[in-house]
Amino acid sequence: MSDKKVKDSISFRFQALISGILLISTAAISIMIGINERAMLYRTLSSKGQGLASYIAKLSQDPLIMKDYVQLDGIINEANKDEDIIYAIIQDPQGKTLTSQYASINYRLPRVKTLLSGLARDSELPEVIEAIQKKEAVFTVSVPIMAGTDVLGKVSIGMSEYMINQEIKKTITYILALNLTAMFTLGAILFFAFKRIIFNPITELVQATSRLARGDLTTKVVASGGGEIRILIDSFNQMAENLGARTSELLEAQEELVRKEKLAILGQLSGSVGHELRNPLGVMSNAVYYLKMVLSDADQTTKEYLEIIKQEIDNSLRIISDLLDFARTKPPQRQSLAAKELVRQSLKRCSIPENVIVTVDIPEALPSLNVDPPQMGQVLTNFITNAVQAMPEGGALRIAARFAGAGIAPAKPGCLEGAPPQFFVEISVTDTGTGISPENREKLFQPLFTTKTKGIGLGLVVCKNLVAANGGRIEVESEPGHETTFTVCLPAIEI
Amino acid sequence: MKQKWMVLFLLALLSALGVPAEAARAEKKIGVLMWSEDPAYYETWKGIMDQLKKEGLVEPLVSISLVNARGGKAKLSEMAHRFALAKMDVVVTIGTSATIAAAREIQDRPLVFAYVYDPVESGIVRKLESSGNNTTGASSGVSMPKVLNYLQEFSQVRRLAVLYTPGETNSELQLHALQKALADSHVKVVPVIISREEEVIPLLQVVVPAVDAIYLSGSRIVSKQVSVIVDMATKARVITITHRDDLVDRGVLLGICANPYLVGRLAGEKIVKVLKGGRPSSIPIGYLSRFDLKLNMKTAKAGGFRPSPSFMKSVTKLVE
Repeated sequence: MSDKKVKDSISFRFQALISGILLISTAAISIMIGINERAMLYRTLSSKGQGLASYIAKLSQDPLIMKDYVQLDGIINEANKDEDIIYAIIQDPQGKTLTSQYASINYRLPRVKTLLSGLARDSELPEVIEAIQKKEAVFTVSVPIMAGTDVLGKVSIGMSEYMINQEIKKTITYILALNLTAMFTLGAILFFAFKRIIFNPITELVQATSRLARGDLTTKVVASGGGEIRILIDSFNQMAENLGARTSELLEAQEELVRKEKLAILGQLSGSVGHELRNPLGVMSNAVYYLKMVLSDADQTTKEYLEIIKQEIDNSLRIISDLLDFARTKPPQRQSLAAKELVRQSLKRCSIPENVIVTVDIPEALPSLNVDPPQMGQVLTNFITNAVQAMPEGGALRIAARFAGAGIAPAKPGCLEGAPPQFFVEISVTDTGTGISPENREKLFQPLFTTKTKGIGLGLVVCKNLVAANGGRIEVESEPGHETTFTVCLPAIEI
Repeated sequence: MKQKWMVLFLLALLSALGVPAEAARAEKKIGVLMWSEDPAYYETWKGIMDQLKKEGLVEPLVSISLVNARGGKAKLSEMAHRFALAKMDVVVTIGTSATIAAAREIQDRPLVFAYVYDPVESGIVRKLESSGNNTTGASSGVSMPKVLNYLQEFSQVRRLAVLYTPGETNSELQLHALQKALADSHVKVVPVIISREEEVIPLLQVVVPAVDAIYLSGSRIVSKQVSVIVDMATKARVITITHRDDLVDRGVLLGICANPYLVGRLAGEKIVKVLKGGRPSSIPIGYLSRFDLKLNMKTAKAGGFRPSPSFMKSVTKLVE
């Protein structure tokens, strides 16, 4: 991930925000504590200096009167053992310093040597004190030495703020160390908690969105999460699923559209070709009829050839008829028609070989069909013919009908789903032929698909179109090697 | 053997007659109070013992109780008080501090001091000829102007640090004496107060670069830290000088000293006089008539000091 991406990421911004807040609060706390502690320590130091100076002033009365300066040195030397005191001096009323340099300056403090570096070796006490005051924060506490009402001199103590600053530094260091430890711990806990709760699911969602955008419609987010994140994940998954479904529907629709377009072109072509061929074939049929009539006493061979011509012309006419039916499905002229009657007429139109046993099982109390009789007759005839052709060695042909109950009419272009329910009657034609393989079954209703030697593969396509035009549907069940059932589900008159 | 039995018999007889046992003892009780474990004090004590031996005052004629306060003032007072209660025939004190403490506690018994730098300034005696009280003794005092003369002869010194310890009378008196002696000279006395051993090094780190010479006064702390002081000073080519004989032996460059052994012998003489019945106030305070000018050659070499031939002529003792 590039730097910019890292900087733009929510987790980075979140982490930066948390760190920023903790740092600012740490700094603010440190400053506040530092200021408070400084004020407190300053007060303590000041009061300590005052107390000590008063005590020295009291002790110094007698030595001052006796001019025993060695004893004065001894007194302030003791005071100088405190690390807050950097110097202590006793002066006479004229301001002359009475104590000696090495007793007055607290040379025990290692930093004093550094403070006085660069000073001339024979520097006197006032110069030494001045040098100290220049380099270190010192405040002086002075107390007069009194004998009754007489002022004998004064004690001045230089209180160094060095220790205060050191204490504050130490405190701030502790606070910073403590807060930084807390900050890193808290930051790490928050980071990992939020990473688990928010960032991981978000990252996965981002990746999933990216995959989805690239066209992977099987994308699904499996990250765990609760609350709003769970809702987001579920919504995303639902969205992806819907998108997949819609896309496949669209693809199907697109394919259907292309197929229909092809069929339309095929229909147009079939219409014009069929129309152009039917007339010459009619002429040829009439010519054969005439020849048969005039050559009634012709030899047997001639008669056979004439019959062959007649049959081939009939086949050609049927093919042309199929082509024309395929090309132009006439709007159905619906009317009430008993299923039994439909079956009877259809069987009548078909020539059933003797080795095929026909069974018709149609209940009496079946509602009448609401269909175009010739169109449905054509459909049923087609089924029966196919069934018979599927059993060249003979077999059983079962025709049955039953009430299929209420259902939704098949969707038609321009019709909304959920149209009012209507009643249906199913008519099934079953043969005990060789059956249809699954791959062939899928192509059954595709134009120009046929397994017959004499067929162009439009019969079932035309049947499907006709049934659909009558508000019904066709279903096929087949077990290869056993039997095949074509079922047409047709709308019935309301009971 | 016969004599021993005779003595025992006599003692038993005296006890039976009710004569106190103390009266039967002819020995004199001598209490010796020493301020610290300073070698000079032991040297003094050696002188005292030799002098007493010379006079025939040995056990069992004398019984000696030697105690050392090891530099503790409270302990010193307590020991002095114990000697006062014990009614010693003579109390001998070695060192100014011990003498002052004992003099405070004992006024009814003779007190002979030894190795006291300045008994008058210390307030022990009124005059050198007569103490005016129950004390007498031998002083270790040297003439400070003489000390300074030798110092100037050795090298031109402008700033002289005096290491002293507050509360130690000898030490403070020496500072006073030096200040007095140098009041009108061009040499500046820089008092350097040392009240604890651990202060010696930090103080000397700032003092040594600021002075030409360092005077080591009779302080217990200075005595203990002498090697450190000499080492730091010598490295910076700063002269060390003292009046303490033993300190020169331990490294100090120059010494104008009263020999502690001789001071002890002198004090021994005073003790004998007291034990023979002499009143302390009538016995004058003893001073040595001659001082040693000592030069520590080892330190001189280490510091690269080159004394002039004329100075070398004055040196009475060389410490190799």
